[in-house]
Amino acid sequence: MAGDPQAFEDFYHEYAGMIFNIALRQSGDPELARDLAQEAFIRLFRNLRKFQGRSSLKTWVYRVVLNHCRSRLSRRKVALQPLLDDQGRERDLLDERRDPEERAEAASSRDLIQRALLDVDTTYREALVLRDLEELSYQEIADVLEVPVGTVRSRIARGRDRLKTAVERIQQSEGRA
Amino acid sequence: MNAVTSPCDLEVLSAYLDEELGADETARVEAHLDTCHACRHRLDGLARVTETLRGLERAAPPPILEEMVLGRREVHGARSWSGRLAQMNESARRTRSTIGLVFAMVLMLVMFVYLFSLAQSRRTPTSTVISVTSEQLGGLPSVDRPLLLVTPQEFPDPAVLRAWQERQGVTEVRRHPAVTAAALVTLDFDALDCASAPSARQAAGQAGTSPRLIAELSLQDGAIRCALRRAPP
Repeated sequence: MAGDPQAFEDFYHEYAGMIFNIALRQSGDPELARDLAQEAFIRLFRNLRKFQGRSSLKTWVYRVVLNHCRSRLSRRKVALQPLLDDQGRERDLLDERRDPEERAEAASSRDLIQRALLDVDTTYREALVLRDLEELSYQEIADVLEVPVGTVRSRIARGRDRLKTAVERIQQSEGRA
Repeated sequence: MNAVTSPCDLEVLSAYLDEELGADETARVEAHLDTCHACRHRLDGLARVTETLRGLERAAPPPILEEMVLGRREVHGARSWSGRLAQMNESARRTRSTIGLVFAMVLMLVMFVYLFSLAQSRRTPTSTVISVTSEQLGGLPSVDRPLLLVTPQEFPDPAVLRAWQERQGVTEVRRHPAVTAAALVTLDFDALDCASAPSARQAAGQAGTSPRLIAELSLQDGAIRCALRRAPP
């Protein structure tokens, strides 16, 4: 693939959505997520020759992206940022065919859960994203994170508990029901 | 896994929610949930937050990401894919060049030191060999001083001494103590020529005895000298 532009373009289209969403949920910042995704693609491209096929390609891609996000974000405090379009207006990531009321409610809920997710420790957040957003099985998550299945189970459980606490805390601080 | 008991096990409930428990364990959890309100409440809480999280719709990557990754244009000062890759490749190339240059210099230095050491070790001894004829010695005086016997076994190549003795017609070789074993081993025997050997042999023959000649090696003025002596009767 390294010498085949078409193959690389196919690879991009296959994994761009997954990589961008991982970066977005880890960072909470669409613009940062865009840069993280581009950097992740560079790492993937440069290290593809080192991929030995001991795991599936998808597992390896997940692992590279998560490792990259972890190392880049460890030194900065992430905060939720809106996505701006080319004219600097806030862009809605949801399906624009929804009616305005639905979109407003969904945006509020989305904003709440994303903020709560950022309050959860990285270790637990990664497991939650892989399970509830990427829909990987416990075994697949164990392969990506290179930990035992029991550890995955523990991280998901604790992550959900922390997420629930974070949601309640945010709702209380904003006076929501 | 142990059966679920109160207080409810968070990990088991979470795995149950994900349908990641085995059949037996699932049955045990469901049986327990029928009787434990606390566990049902906790499970509901987990389910609500999980459902909310799963409700986060998948965001489409911005179109600009494709252009950045596939190298079609620069974006607001952010380097394009090709720009970033070119910069990383250039940096890697410079590093490789520097490492290669340093390696080549170290290799040249090692080769120079090796060749210099080799040249030093092959230098011929400075000792000068002077042949002394029996006439200069006034005949063939007998050996009357204690000398050290030189044997072929003292040499890395014993054949060197044997061959020289045969050429010179010398039965035995002896050395003064001043002629050290180390100097002897490095002596160039091809240049050590006891020129009086034929006449000495002839003189010994005239005495009616079997020619037994001894080469006596001594050190004089920093040089190894060779003199022929007749062996004592």
